[in-house]
Order: sequence, then C-alpha cells, then structure tokens
Amino acid sequence: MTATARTIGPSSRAEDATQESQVRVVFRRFRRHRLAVISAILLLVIFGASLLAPVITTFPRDAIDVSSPERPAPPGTVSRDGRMHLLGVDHLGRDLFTRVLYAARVSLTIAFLVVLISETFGSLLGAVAGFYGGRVDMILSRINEFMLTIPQLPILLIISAILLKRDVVLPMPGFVSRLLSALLLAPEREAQKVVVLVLILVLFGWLSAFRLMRGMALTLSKQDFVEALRAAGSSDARIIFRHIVPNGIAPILVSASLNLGAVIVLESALSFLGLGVQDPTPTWGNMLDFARSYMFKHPWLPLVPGIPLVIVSMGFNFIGDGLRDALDPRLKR
Amino acid sequence: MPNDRLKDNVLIKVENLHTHFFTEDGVVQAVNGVDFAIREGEVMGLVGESGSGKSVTSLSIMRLLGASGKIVDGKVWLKGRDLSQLTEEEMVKIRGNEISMIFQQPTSCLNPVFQIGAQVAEVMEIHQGLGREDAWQQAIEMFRKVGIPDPEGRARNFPHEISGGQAQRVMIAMALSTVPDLLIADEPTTALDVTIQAQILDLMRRLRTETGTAILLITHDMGVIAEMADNVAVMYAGQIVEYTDVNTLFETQLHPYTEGLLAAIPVLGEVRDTLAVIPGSVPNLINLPPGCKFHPRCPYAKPVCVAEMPRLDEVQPGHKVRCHMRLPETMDQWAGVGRADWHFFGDEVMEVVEMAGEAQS
Amino acid sequence: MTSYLIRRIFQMALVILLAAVFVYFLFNISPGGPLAGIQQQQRRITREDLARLRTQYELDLYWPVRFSRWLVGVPQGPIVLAGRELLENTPVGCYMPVYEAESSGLQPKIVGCDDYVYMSELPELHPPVRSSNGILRGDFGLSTVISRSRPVSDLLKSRIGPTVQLMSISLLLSLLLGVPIGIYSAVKQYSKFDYFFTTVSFIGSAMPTFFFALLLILLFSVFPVFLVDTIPWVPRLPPGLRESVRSYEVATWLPTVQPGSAFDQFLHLLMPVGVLTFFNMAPWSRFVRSSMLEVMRQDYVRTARAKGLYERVVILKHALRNALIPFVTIVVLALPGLFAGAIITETVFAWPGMGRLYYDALQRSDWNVALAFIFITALLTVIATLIGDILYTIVDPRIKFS
Repeated sequence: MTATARTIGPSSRAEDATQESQVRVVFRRFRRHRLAVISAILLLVIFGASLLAPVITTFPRDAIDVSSPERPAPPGTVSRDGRMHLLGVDHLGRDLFTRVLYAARVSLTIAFLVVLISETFGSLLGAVAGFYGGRVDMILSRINEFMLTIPQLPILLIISAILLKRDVVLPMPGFVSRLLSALLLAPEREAQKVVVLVLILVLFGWLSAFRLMRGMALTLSKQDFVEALRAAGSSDARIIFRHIVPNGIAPILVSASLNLGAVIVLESALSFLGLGVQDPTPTWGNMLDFARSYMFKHPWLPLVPGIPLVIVSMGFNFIGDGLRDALDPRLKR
Repeated sequence: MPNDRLKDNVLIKVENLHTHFFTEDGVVQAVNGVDFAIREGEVMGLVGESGSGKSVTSLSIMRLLGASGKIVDGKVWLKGRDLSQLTEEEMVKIRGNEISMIFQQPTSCLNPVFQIGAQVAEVMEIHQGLGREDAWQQAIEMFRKVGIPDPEGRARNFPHEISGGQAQRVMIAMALSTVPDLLIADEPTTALDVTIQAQILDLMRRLRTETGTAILLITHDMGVIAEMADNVAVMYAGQIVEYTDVNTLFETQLHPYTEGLLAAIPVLGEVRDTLAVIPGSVPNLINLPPGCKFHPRCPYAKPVCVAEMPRLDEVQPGHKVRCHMRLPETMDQWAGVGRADWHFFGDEVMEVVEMAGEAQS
Repeated sequence: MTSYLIRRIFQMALVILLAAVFVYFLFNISPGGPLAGIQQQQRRITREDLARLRTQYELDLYWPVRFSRWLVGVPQGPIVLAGRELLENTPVGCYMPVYEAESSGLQPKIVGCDDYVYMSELPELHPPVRSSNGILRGDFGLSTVISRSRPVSDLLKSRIGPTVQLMSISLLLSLLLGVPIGIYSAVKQYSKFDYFFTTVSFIGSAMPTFFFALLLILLFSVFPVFLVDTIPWVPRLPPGLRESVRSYEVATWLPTVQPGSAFDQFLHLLMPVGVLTFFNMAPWSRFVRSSMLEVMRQDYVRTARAKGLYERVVILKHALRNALIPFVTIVVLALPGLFAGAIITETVFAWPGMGRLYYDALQRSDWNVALAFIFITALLTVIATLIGDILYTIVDPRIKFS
C-alpha cells in the first residue's frame, strides 16, 4: 500500500488576480465616500454654471434695473418690462442671479490660482529645504513656523489695505491680463487688481505645502536610493523633481483641495471687510457685505451669496477628506 | 497533568474558551475551543507563533479584549468564580490584585508622564488601600526586591530614563506587589537582550518561589519554556494542539506542529546545510481552513485531516494531543510513516514523506 | 535652562526687531501719508515750502535716524555725557536737498544737499512731542483719524476691555466644552455622539465666520421681528453693539431690558460669544479627540487597565494627561487672540473692541493705530510661542531643553 501523503501545499489564498492600476484603486475608494461624491457633483454643477455664466444669464453683470419695483427686491421679482429676476436684485438694482454666477467665476478663479501657485511654490521650497537640510532648511523652517503661528488675517488686511489705497497695479504681459480678464469675466483693469489679491493670498498659502513636501523630502533623502542616484551622476534638480516630488503628490493633492476651501473663505472674508475684491467685481464676500446693511428688511439677501459660498467651501473640504481617505486609508481618522 | 512537585488544587481552569473579534473585515476567530488548568504555584507555558491565539487567551482571562473582542463561548474558573460572567466592577477588583499581567515591550507599558515609583505605588493604593506615603515606601521595597539598584533614587525616574530590562523589573514589581495568585507574562523577555532575558527569568523564578504565585508564561521561544515551565500547551490557530509536562514535550512530540517547532531550533554542534522550517504560514483567522487547522502545512496530512477536525484527547497518560495521526480511531492510516525531515526547505519536506511512505510499502 | 532662555530671548528680540522693521516699512509705503500730498503739489511748490513740509513729517532726516526715533525715541539731540555734548555735528538729515533738474514722477531723485541737519539742531527742528518715546517704550504715536491727536496707546487701552471680555469668555467656554466633547468622542468612537460632533466640527471648519455670524443675526434678530405677529413669544436678540442706549424688549414674557444692566450686557454677549466659541470649539474638540485616540492605543493604557483601575481613571488620569500635552501649545497660541480679538466677529456685531478698532483704522487710513496693532500682535505671538515651548518642557517629562 502506498502511503501517499497528499501533497497539500502551503495554504495560499488565491490573490485577486488583476492588479488594478493605482488611479482606479484611488477612484474606487473615493467613491465610497458619499459626501465627497455628492460634493464633487455639486461643485461641478456650480463650476459648470459659472463657466456658462455669460450664456445662461439674461442680464449684464453691472446693469442697473431701474424698472425694478424696489431695490433690493426678493427672488422672483419681475421688472416692469416683464423680465424676471430669478434671485432678485441687489440694493443698486443689479440682477442677483447674474452676479452670483459671475461671483462664482471670480471666487473660484482666485481660489484656483492661489492654490496652484502656493502649492507649487510651497512644494518646491519644501523639497529644497528637506533635501539640502542645513542652514537653508533651518531658515526656511523658522520662517514657516513663525508664519504659521502669527494670526494671518490682520497681516493680510493691512497689506491689502495699503496696496488697495495706493491703487497698486502690477505690470504684467498683455496676454496674462487678457487671460485673467476672460477667466474672471471682468474688464482688464479689474483683473489686474485681482492679481494683487492673488499674490497677497499666496503669502500665507504656501505654508502647508511646504511642511508636507519638506517632511517627504527629509525621509526620502535619507534613503539609500538617493545616494545611489547621486553616485550615478544624477543632478540634484533631477533627483528632486523625479523622485522626491512625485512621492509627495498625494498629500499635496489633499492639502490643495482643503486649501481651496480655505482660500475661498479667506478671500470672501477679505472682500466682506472691503479689503478684497472691490465692487463692481462681484464676489460672494462683497455681496455679503452689501447684504449686511439691508438684511433687516430683506432677510433673504445674505442667503443668496452665502449659500453657494458655504456649499463650495464645505464641498472642497469633503472632497479633501475623501481624497485623504482614498489616497491613504492608513491616515483615516 | 500530574506532576508531584505541584499542589493538586486547581487555581484557574479555562473551559472550551471561544473568543472572537468582530471587525470591519469579518469575524476573527482568535480562540477556538481552548481548555487547560493551572494549579497553584504552577508555571504553565503557552507556546505558539504570532496569531496562534495565545495572547488573546490571556486577554480573555483578564477580560481586556477591547471593544471588538468578545468571549462567545466557554468559561474561565478562578477559585470557583466564572470570570467570563463577572461584571466590569467585579473584574476591576481582580485585575492587578488576584491576577496580574506583564507584557512585551516593557518601556512602552509604562506611562511616560508619571514617575515609575508612583506607577507601582498606584497598584497598592487601589488594591490595598494604602496611603500615598506608605504605597511609595512599599514601591521602593518592591524595587529592591526585583533587584533595581538605588531604589529610592530610581523611583523618581521616568520611564524614558530607564533601560528595557529595568522597565521589565518595574513591571514585575508592579505585578507582584499585590501578591497575586496568577501572573500572566505575555512574551516578557522577547524584546530584551539575551543576557537581560536570563536575568529576568531568574528573577521571575525566584519571586515565584517566594510568593507561590502561579505563572502563565506565553512565548514563542522554546528555550524559555525549557527553562521555566512545568507544563506546556502548544497552540495553533486558536486551539491547543498538544498539552503535557515540559519534559515529556521535549522528549516526544506527538503533534506535527510541535515536531516542527522543536526541529526548527538549531542544535549547537550540529552541522546542517539547510534550516528547518515549517512550510507555509499561519492561517487567516477570519477564514480558517476546514478540518484540522494545521493540515495545509502538515507533511503528514491525509484526507481525514481535511474532512474532520480532530478532538483534543489524552492519548498517553498526562499527554493530550489534537491530531488524527495520534487518535486511536484514525492512527492506523499512518502505519509505517516515518518521521519527516524538517530540514528540507519548504515544500520539499512533503515529498520526502511521500517517498519514505512509498519505500516502506 | 538659563542658557536656553537667554538664547530664546535673544532670538525673540531679533524677531521683534525684524517685525518692527517690517512694520516701519509698511508705514512708509502706506498711502495717504505725506508722500502722496507732495506728489500732487510738487510742481507748484517752492523749495522752501517743500522743505518745511518734509520737516513736518520728519522726512528730512535720514531713514535710519527716523527708524531709530520711531523705535526707541532716540536720538532727540546730541548725546550728553558727563556734561559734554557728543556728536553734535553729525549730520542726521538734509533740510534742503538738491533735486535732479526737472525730474518729476513719484519721487524726485535727490542728488545733493544744500543744508544739512545736524544732531545739535534736532531739539529745535524736531522738538519732542507728547508721544515720541518710540514703539519699544510703548509709544505708538498719535492717532490721526479715529481720535485726532490722541495717543494711540490711550485708544488701545480704551478698546482692550471689551475684547478681553469677549475673548476670555469664549476661550473659556471653548475649553470647557471642547475638551470633554473630544474625550467623549474618542472614548465612544463611532457612536451617534461622535458622528454628530464630527459633523458639527466639520461645519465649523468649513463655514466662514462672517456668514455664520450673519446667520445668527438673521435667526435671532431679524426673523423674530417678522414672526412676532404669528408667534408673539419669540425672543429677539440685539444684533450688535455691547450695550444699548435705550431700554428695549426681548420678548413679551421677559422683563424690559434696562440699558447698561447685566442682563443687557449678557444679551449683547450671547451671539458674538456663540460665534467665537463655536469656531474655537470645533477644531479643539477634534484635536483632543484624535490625540486621545492616539493615546488610548498605547501599551501603557492597557497596562493601566490590567492594574485594575476603573475605566474612568484610566481615561481621565492616564490617557488624558498624555493626550493634552500637544494641546497645551495650541491653547497657549490662542492667547494672543485675547488682544487681537476677532476682527470679523467684532465688525459684524459692531463690538467696540480691538478687532473693530483695527478694521476702522484700516478703512480710514489711521496708520499709527493699525501698525501699533500689528506690532503688538507680533510681540504677543512671539511671547506666546516662548511660553508654549517652556510649558511643553514642563508638561512632558521626556522633553528637555536642548
């Protein structure tokens, strides 16, 4: 009799064969977050509406409707020549629906520009600081630390006040000015002033990206493969751009999304206080500022710019949260 | 497990213990039917790899399972009371008092913001009602007993100021200050240097003789077992697979897993080309294999092993094992099968058994 | 320890000096100042008139001298040492500069000097005014718009009371509410309580403060007015200011409120404190929660339980003590807020505090006030950082001065 011990190999669970690509995995995990998905959809809707603003609005942005029965007037008001103001008119008689959409353009454009510039700038600085260490790192980190601890708002306010009162206009190439003007749906003069605001906001915007990328660079720089690359003749810049930065993209994306929400709120705050975007360029912040004086008789007035502002701000936050969980479930909670 | 040196009174008896963890990914069946008894003053060793359920068994006794863990079946008798049924209020009085526990990584087991003297004193304050001053003095005494030099000075230290070995001494001081009936030591020396290891084990032995405390010693290190244990239970996938006194275990291993464990210990002076290894890895506790839990890794496995889970039976006097190969009703299937040579790496060990079997047919 | 302190204080001094330079720089480029006026009239003004104008604003002095006077109030004149005047002939400025011929634009280039200002002439040309002891001696100059010619420090003193009142109440409430909520959320993770407050905190971090403030005003001051016909008992809060001038009614079933009474003050405090507390409590409770969660996973918490401690003791003595260590820094850094107040909240609720003062100063270009505010805020932040670091070493035995 053959005593065959049936060779039963080591118990290995059949691995789910297909290796999903990184992006798909992230996407799938993101979809699990209902709130993040809802936010993404809502934001896309608002985004789309603002893109189509010139098309779907029937009134010009600054047009004062003298035939409106009162100013401000509630949503649904029909002016004497028969046209309806979907969201009413503001204290000057300008159509609110139009202004809210144009304001979306302005606020979103500013937010994206600020975040784009500050995340890029912050990451580069952070990568350099973490990679080179030493004096450079120490100085940059100290500055970063200090700027994180001081209250941002007062400083932003005073810089903005100074620059605004002096009517400072940055010289820039024509195409930039025109591009901005198209993005903002505003005349070039207004666009130029917005640039100043963008730069002011970048002042404090780079802080989180710096920390994130610096941390990444510090850990990575200590690893052997950097030595190997150096020995192989790779230039520092190459190492930084091709090996360090890509590893930090994930947390930077999360930070960027959260930053978008923060910048929109910050810009609104500045505009609300009259030291951000100036009338007639509409932004939800300055619309709220005007609404403030009239809200006692017209309580719906602050809600018109306020609700989209809250939706967008919370939306970016939810998306950032969802991204964070999707990109690295270990960071959850 | 008869052993004349020990008293006959059973201190703690674990009966058919089943502990599960209810997680997002599924139910982790960490302990699946464990039975053993510890007598007063006995040192019982609980051996197994990580994931065998040995730590969870001890946590089940202490009822320190956390939110997701639950004793789903079985009883734990301590001096006539079923610990699994007690309220938290009652359990609190037992922990640190009648049953104490020490863990791996002693430095991280101490609260970093309190002085170590205070942490030991705390036990006596709550269980013996001592005042601050008295408890502190007692703590210093305990430090002296466990061999910490300059006890008065050291008591004021913080955990980050002492070494791993000293930290474990502090933990032992903490655990034994209330003269508990049972000390559960979960891998107490695994994280320590070998020389320190020997010292700590010496200390434990000495104190045990002084206080008469029984010890449940959990480890994966057979050397520690050989040195300290009176009786040994080998655990695998949440079950006890072999249970006997220490001498018998080292002489004759009835269960293939124990065979493999001991074969894996390199012997001084023996020259080999390959290391002995138990092929495969510990099973996923959410999805356990059918039948005998060890069968996927067992060189002796036969169809009956896949079909049916063997029961734990005393096949020789004072020697229980859970294996079809040893159970009277099925052992004939292995007539003529020789011992596997675990020194073949991985799957090859299976082939050798086959060949050996064929050769003898 | 002392060497550490000395080093830190030295660093602090450096930072404060830099802050002062920054602030002074802002001051000089701030518009509405002397320069703007001069630009306008440049072509029509005579050299002598121009010189007098410049002197009026100390522009005849070289900028290091100006900066020094602004910072510490020296030099005011030649240094007197043992009865003798030193440095009396050092030129510290130029009274009558020579401009580049026919230059126009923002700033005409100065190419020479016809009449220098010497140290000895300082007391005569720039007599010390009421407030010229320099910023470091607490002298921020005179307010130019808000309270004409009143010292800025007086103005600051008058406004600090209401701000401290507002901020201290809300900081205290935030602590008293935030910490327990954080602890309970961590202990009962994933419970309804946890989810509820996670959501609340989320809203707190995403919502703009000024909109929340407006919402509150809408809810408690505006809508009740509209509802009063249908629901006569609905209470109505005053929408702004700190005290009322006349007596008013909050609700039909409450007594009439007398101006200046405790009840009046209380009513006015409700909404601003509500806003501030909410926006502090949200991130603080989150922080405590995650810190607690982190700590509760540690081995020493398991040891504490194994020792036979009641769960309450394990949480509140062993776990919390560790979890609050990083929290200390956060709370300390909130302290400069006691001064800087909440600009937005004070503005929306017309609260007569520092934040609103700053806002007014910026709107009306009263730069002395604004810059004083910034400087003091920076100073307080630096001090708070130092205190935070020192506190950290006290609270965490693992950290030493190094």
